[in-house]
Amino acid sequence: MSVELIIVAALAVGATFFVVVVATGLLINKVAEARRSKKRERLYQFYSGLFADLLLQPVLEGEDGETVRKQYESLLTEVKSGLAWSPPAQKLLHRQAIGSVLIDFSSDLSGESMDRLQYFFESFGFVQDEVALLKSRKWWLRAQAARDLGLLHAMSATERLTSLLEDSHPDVRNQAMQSLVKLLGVDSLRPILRKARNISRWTSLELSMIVKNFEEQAYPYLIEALSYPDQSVVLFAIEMLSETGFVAAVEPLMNVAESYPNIVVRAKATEALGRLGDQRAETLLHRLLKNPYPSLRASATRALERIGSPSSVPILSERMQTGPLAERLSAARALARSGERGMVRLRVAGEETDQTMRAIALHVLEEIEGVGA
Amino acid sequence: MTEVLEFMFGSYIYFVTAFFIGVNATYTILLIRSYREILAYMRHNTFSNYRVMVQSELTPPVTIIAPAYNEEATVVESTRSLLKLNYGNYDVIVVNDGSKDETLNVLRREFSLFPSNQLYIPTLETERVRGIYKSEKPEYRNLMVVDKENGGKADALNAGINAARYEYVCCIDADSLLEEEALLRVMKPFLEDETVIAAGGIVRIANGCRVVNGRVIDVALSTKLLPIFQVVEYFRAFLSGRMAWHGMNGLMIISGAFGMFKKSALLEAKGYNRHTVGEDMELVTRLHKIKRDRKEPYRIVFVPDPVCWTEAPESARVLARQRNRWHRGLLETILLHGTMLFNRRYGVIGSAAMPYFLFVELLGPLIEFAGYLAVGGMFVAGILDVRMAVLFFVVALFYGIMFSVGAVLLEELSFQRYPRPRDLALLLAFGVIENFGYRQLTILWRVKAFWDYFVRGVRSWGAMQRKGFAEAAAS
Repeated sequence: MSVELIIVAALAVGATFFVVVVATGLLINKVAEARRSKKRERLYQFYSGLFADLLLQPVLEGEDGETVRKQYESLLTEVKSGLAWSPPAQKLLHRQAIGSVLIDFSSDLSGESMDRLQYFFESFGFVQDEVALLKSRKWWLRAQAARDLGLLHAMSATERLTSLLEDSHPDVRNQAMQSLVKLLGVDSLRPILRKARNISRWTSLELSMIVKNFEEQAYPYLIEALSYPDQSVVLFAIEMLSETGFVAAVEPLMNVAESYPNIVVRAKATEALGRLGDQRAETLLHRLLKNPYPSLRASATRALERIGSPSSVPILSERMQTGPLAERLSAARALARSGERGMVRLRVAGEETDQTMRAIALHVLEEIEGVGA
Repeated sequence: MTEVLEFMFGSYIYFVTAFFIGVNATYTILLIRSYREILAYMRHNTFSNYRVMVQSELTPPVTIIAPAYNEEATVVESTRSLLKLNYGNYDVIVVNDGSKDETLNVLRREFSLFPSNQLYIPTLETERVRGIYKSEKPEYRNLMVVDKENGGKADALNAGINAARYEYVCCIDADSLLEEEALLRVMKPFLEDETVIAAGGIVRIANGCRVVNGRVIDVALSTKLLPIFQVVEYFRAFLSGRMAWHGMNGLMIISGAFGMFKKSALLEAKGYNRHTVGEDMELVTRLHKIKRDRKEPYRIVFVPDPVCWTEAPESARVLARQRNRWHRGLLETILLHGTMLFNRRYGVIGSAAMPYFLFVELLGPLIEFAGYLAVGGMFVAGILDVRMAVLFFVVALFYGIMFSVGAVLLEELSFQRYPRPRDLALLLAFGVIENFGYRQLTILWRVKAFWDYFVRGVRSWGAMQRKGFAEAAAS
């Protein structure tokens, strides 16, 4: 038999082996996974019922912490002894089910029930396990542990979670951030914003939901963040100050819009002033309409559109006549929101002979008035 | 004479063997890389809370552009499905590319459209826009229909880009169905990384699935043969091909059926090329070229779980036309951007992705076809080592099966969209069966593309008959 033939035959055998093993494995796994999933579901149901009962069992009130903990521990005796006798694979499956049940319960509980749940979590050694995982080299294990510690309100892990805010992987940082919010409440905003670097828009979205939940409590932290060195944090703070409508932020935002060393940040602050809709910013916005930077001019026009003040009509009419199309359109929109005088000016523009001017005016009128404007 | 023939055929067989080894080594590397990438994606996705994207007002708005040409059968259902996506703020622009059927009228009737004064700025050159329509109904206020003269898909997409008012544009086929969360998922990479300029999602085959109100509610395989073959092919192309290239920032194609782009990048590239049938691949290649020429940091990514469902051809005639067009598109892209080939300036694109597309995807069918001819010729000339030829065929067969099974494996490890064990068994079986006839047929269609392009000078799209999803799903 020639060498070529042996090589070819070996390749065929290799490929066949791969195909047979993978195909068989896939089919077996598909069936086995369905069974495993059923088993997991059964265990989950079982432990859900069991722990619901354990959480509802009365404990002596007014006792000292040690006694209460002893009572909690006594509730777990049966489960623990059951686990102790199980073979390792079974034990793992049961522990996973218990962990899932406890974590799922944590979102609906508070007060004494939550204390009890936390105790259960600690007593089963889950907290220690999760804390150990925070040091894992695998980022997904660190992220998972950070998330679970937050869900279980593991206060003892606060310091470690804070240090994770500087983790190399964004998912770990995000999970640590979410958990710190659960553990420390609004006070978590300071370390989160201070340690944040180059936050992505995705992180901004997650942070924005957190900030929104804290409402006006978040205000001092956001104002403080305006002076942080990281530009992405400053941009986020500006965005949130305007998004949540803190009128008290007008003055600090005016300072940023006027004198921050970076144009992108100034433009963002300018737009934010518009969103706040406060007429105190009008003079500054009129001034910025004449700024040499196009992005600042555009932001000022959009801001005036939001404020909608009749005093802006002359300057906006002027802006609608010349300049880049986007700016002219923005000025027309601002005019439409500047009261009756603005609308009259726009209707006049809708009949002008200048094609572009007419098109801009008709476009905006249709946006405002709808069909047949 | 016999010696000359023997030398010629023998040399060719050695060449084919070397090519075969090279191709299979490449496929193996791609499969392994895809596996790693999918695993990394799945892990990353565990920590993604897409709800924040829907709830937060910081989520950037998106414009969806769906070009439609003679799509009266599916356009209403597709548009309705687009208007029901789970995403904060988005517009839908349907571009009627001079349809000869009732596409525009059914849209006008169904969505109560009126001629609008909407400002249209023709930044990108297109055929004449005849009118812009918007809906009188408040529930469709984010719908716009651009009616223009026929200029082809690329031209229609360019018109849509002109009319788009947001920074992110999602280009899809009007006959496709997006899953409810598809937009959120394909948008996420842009939010995580400012340098992402384009992202593509996975395209899956809807034939055999149950579609209700523009939503795929039960995933199943078709009862017809051709769509099942295509399911396996799509797995190979998307899961074990694009996922691997994505990992190397060497993705050269984002399917025209579903891709998200930064509008500024599209304008920088002057939009889609109106003179090619492979406009989707050509655009992505051009984006790579522009960004690498300017030495700007950028990423073009593939996201494997935002699903776009499409109706696959069920007749050999239509499928042949589609494959012929795809191959001509690939050929045009390689010809247009040949300067990038083996050019170190273009990094992974010039040194790996383009050579792969040239030798494996473009010339592969030609070489394989010539291989079959050579074997036939050698047999006639009586110089064929039959034992060796059979064994070689067996190896080629098993490697073909191996990569199909590998692609099914990736699907099973990750998304498991086909829940029934029966469907999995069928897919595995079709991974085997496709090597007996179907594979050879697709090679023939692709070889014919060379003939059509170079000899017949064919540059057009050819027609694709649509049945509509309700009917397609039943088959």
